[in-house]
Amino acid sequence: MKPLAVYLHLPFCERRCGYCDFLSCCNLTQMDAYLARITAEIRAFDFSPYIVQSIYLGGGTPSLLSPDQIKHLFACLPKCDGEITIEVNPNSLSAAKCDAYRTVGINRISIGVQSFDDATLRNLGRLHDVKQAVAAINLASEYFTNVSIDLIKDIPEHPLVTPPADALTLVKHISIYSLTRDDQCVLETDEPVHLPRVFHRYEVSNYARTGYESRHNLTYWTGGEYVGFGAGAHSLIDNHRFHNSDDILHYRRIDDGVRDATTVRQEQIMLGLRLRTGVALSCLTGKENVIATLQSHGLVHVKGDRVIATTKGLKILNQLWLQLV
Amino acid sequence: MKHTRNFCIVAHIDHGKSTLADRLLEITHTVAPRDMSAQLLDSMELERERGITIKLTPTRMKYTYRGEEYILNLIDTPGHVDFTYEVSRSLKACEGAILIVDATQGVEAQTLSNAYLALDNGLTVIPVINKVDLPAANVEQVRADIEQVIGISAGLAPAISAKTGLNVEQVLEQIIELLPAPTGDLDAPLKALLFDCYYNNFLGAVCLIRIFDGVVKVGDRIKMLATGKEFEVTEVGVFTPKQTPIERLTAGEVGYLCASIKTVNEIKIGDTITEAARPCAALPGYKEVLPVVFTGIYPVAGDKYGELKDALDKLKLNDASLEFTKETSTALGFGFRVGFLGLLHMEIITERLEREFNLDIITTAPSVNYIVHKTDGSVVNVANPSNLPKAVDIEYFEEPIVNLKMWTPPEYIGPLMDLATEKRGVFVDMQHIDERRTALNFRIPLNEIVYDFFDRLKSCSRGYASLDYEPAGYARAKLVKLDILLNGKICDALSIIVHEDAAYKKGKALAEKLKEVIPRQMFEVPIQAAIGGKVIARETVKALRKDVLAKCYGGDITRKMKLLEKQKEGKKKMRMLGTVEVPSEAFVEILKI
Repeated sequence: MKPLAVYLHLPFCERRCGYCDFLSCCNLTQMDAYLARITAEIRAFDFSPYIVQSIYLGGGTPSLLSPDQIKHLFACLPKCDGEITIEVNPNSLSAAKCDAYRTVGINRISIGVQSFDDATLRNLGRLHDVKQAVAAINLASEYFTNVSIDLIKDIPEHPLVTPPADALTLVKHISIYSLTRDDQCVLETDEPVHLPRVFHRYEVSNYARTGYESRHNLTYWTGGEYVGFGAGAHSLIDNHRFHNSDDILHYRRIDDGVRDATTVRQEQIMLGLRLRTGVALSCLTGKENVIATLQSHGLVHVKGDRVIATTKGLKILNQLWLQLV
Repeated sequence: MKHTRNFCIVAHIDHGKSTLADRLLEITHTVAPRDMSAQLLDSMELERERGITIKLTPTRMKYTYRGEEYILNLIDTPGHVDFTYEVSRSLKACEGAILIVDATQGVEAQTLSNAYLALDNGLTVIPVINKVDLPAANVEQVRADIEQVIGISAGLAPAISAKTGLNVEQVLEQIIELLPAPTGDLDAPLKALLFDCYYNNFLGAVCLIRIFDGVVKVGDRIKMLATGKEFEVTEVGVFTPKQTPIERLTAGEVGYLCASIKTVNEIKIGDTITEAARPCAALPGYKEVLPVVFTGIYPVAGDKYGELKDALDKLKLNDASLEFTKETSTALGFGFRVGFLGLLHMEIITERLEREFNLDIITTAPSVNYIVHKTDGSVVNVANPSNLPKAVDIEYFEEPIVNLKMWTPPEYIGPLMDLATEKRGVFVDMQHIDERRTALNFRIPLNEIVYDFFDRLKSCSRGYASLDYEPAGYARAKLVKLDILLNGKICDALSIIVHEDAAYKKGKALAEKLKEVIPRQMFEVPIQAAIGGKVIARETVKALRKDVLAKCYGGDITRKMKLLEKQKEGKKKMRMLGTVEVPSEAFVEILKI
């Protein structure tokens, strides 16, 4: 039995956020038809060779699903004893939903807080305010130990506001993404992040209390196998990549082919550099001189057989990658 | 032969040569309307994009006039001053020239020089007034202009619009009525002028020829008089405008021949082609054109040196004026020192290398040929700043001087005088050609006009002034070598030779420009400009503060990798100079200072 991570993409949103580059859809009338399609897709998948280690309901806004829809969806998912996450928005979370989540086995909740400043939230076009965000954290904590929040930094004219202490005590995991567009990843602003030391930076954009690192995301970052269901979802199985097209109701599976050795190595370096555990030296043979130069400039350090980016290096990971591949 | 006319179209740039050529092709049904595209003869991608003609293109057209069918051979020519030599080549293959004058702009510098070029070559010139459909057209004024400025009769000049086709038939009629038919002896030994040539991967060199005497057909044994090489003809034909093989080409005709000519050294543009067994006397041939501007051209990737050499060889094949020799730079590795006729010529060649041969290249600052007198009494020629002897060993420099002639409407005399003086020009005299046109004569160092002079001249005369120059020997000058240091190391590819008085200003400008074009890197990069070890300017490229992909989840790793691949592609265009990455555009940008 091989370990497998399972991703479900639920693209529906009340409103589209300008900064989000995930596939989303605001026509909520298509929700039932979509759920029918995704459940059919899940049922058609052969889970027998796998042991499912994590399930992740991402979006979109998965918390738009009613308790019944959630139960219906989980009825066709295989058994999982590991991490089961759902992404929620502060304004669409309720006690009834939390109850349903717990019933189906969800044990991790990821709240799209984005900011602890009302002006910033308005600027981002979010439908909630700080009060609602704090209420959502409190509500989620009544049902779940493992609560994660998402924040956005480097927003022009809106400095990052650190979570209030009382909310922070309830939170186990924080993702802080820099507001960038993919085609302009070189931006000058890079706000420093000040979090209590109990939150360690285990990936360039992710901070967690020990033991609460995201199992599911680590599968992506360490080259594990995963299957994605729903429009726009990606899969990596037996070194073979697939993805579903973006057509909400008529998405099809597209074969992206088997990764060659070079691609595997380049991906390992890209993903490894982002992690606190770094990249195995065995991936970097022939790059000893480059590593030494980068080391002398304080951009990486070598610990045992791993090359790890320093805080300084984490700011210019693309450059490190370009030097190391 | 009496039903053949060979002619070219000459004009100032942008007066409508290629558009008229299009109309002629249409009216003579040479090209079916469905195959017609604008500026058909400008087949080079670069020609279409810039709307200029660079290469000669001969085309055979058929036209029935008063019940008799005529063969009209048109040779399209470039209009820019840098390519005057191409024009003079095509003139040698014709009996007549159509001189186009823009009805809104009148006689311009290149109208004048091309008209005289044609008259000097003994051609019959037919003036044509174009763009009469434009509201600003002043046909009668332009008619008077042509008579007064050029001195040829323009009373019969057709007033046409090449764009709409208005009165274009009149042009065809005048070609037949007014131009002389070619003469020649069919039975004499073959005497053909090789006026241009291009390279075809399958056929080898395709020679564009004008036959003066005799006949040439497949299987003939031919001889090139200048190189002495002999070949067997494998194909003869004409351009319709597609390359179309025919049985034979006879005296008076224009066409092409192929003879399995594989290397550049075997032929020479301007040469006379004759029969191997029965050679004729040589035609006068062409005035050798000498390059005046030199730059280093290097491949961005060192392993592309061989490809660069092949590409230059192929370009040389149809650009007789291109000269190159091997050169080595500490910063850039192996490359070539290439000689050009001017800056536009240089730009065209570098762009063709990049587009047609898909090469990424670096061009160093243009230079001229200096004579350096050393303290030990010896004399060396230097066209590459990095070959300059040490400053302490130099007694003095001599630099090439040119006689510069600028034509301008009188209102721009002031700004042009200032420009030439700023560039160390010495005023010689001024001639009033007529009330609209004045010629300014200066003696000026060549290296002052190879950088941005032409652009400056155009901008301070709103495009009206034009220039021409001819070598006028050498003169002693106070010159120094200006070095650029990146991260403390001299970068030889960026060194230039400048006049002592301009060195400080130029050094500062260079350092500032480099700061703009060198992207931020992982480490801070100091840029210094220095003369003989003394730093005169300093700038710093700050270290990159942030370059990282924001998020990497949802499993879509391929997309992130694509973004990184894009960055990697961009990096390929960078050249490592020591530890500093310099984009190849940096070398182009600094030329503009």
